Amino acid sequence: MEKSSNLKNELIFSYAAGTASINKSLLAATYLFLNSNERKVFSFFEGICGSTLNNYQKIKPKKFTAEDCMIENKPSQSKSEIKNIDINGPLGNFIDSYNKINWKKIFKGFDEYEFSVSPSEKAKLIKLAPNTRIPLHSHQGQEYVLVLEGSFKDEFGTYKKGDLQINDLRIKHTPVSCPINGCICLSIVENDLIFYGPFAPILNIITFLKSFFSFNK
Amino acid sequence: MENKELSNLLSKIGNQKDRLAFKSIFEYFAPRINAYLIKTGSNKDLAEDLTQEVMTVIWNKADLYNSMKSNVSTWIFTIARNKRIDSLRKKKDPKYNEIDLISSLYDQENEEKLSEDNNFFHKLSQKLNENDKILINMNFFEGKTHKIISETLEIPLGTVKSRIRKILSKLRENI
Repeated sequence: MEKSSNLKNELIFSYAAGTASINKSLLAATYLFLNSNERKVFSFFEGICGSTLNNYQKIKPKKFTAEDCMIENKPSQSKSEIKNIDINGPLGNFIDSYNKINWKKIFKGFDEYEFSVSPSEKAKLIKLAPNTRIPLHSHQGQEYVLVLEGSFKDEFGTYKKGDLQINDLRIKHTPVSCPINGCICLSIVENDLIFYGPFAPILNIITFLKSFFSFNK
Repeated sequence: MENKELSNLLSKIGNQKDRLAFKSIFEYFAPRINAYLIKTGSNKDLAEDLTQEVMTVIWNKADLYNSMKSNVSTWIFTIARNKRIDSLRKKKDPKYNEIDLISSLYDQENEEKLSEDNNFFHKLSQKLNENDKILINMNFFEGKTHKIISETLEIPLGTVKSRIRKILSKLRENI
């Protein structure tokens, strides 16, 4: 757990500093939206980032003066019409409702929906029907799984709404969704999954082909 | 300059469009924002353009600054940070103008009030030793990966990772 909290610190600090990728920023923003305690950590890290402004060696701009900045901005365009959305928070900017999504079935009880957050970055929603088990696997890069609805458990514990699990190659796990509600999670994966066990060769080939075609789209 | 003084200047700009107060804020922050943008990878031209945009936002939106929520440096840093991300995004994706994504990701009402003032954060960042500062700068402000930091500083990758994690944990202990 110590390791996981360290990785969360890194995620929140890079989000505060503005150097997190857009999909990780979406993840961090959604995580903070669901965890008010962590918003204090974010504000704290943002305070540290802000204080660094005082430390920079001054480089005076040459092209303009204070006078050039004292101009009235045009009133900003009114925000687009209020959308009828079921999902609150930052994710609501990308997805209106879990029910309106065109879920793609991966196997029985396991659906996913991949969406673009930028031309080069994607995020994924995972929906597990109650009591669905994902075969033993690990991850080539880091995998961030944020529980949005319901819960799941694995060898390391139970993860409820708002909990963030961060996995990598060293962690092999077999997640099982809640037997009553299943779960919906936001997932950011740096690299593909690696499956283990009797069906591993087939699952790994499917994963490879999927990522190959998705990369070449 | 102390946060209280900066905060008074901002409220004069926000309430009365005080040009003299803005000039003081400009003198203090414009060269620092410009330096921050250059250090984080913008070329000199772009850094100046973005600095001008940031200062124009301050002139127009000073009335939105809430001293109960953050100190002045943090508020101005967030404007500069968002402008910087915006410019990087626009460079990568010409269609980006259509959506104000960054605002949507950062525009959260944060009711978590921090009592610490600018001085506190300044002292805290001063407490970090030079090596820690270099690591934090390279990783979180210049956006360099652990691997690149390890190669640049010629220290093992594992050491880079563990030191960065230790620094953040140490900082977090101060909350």
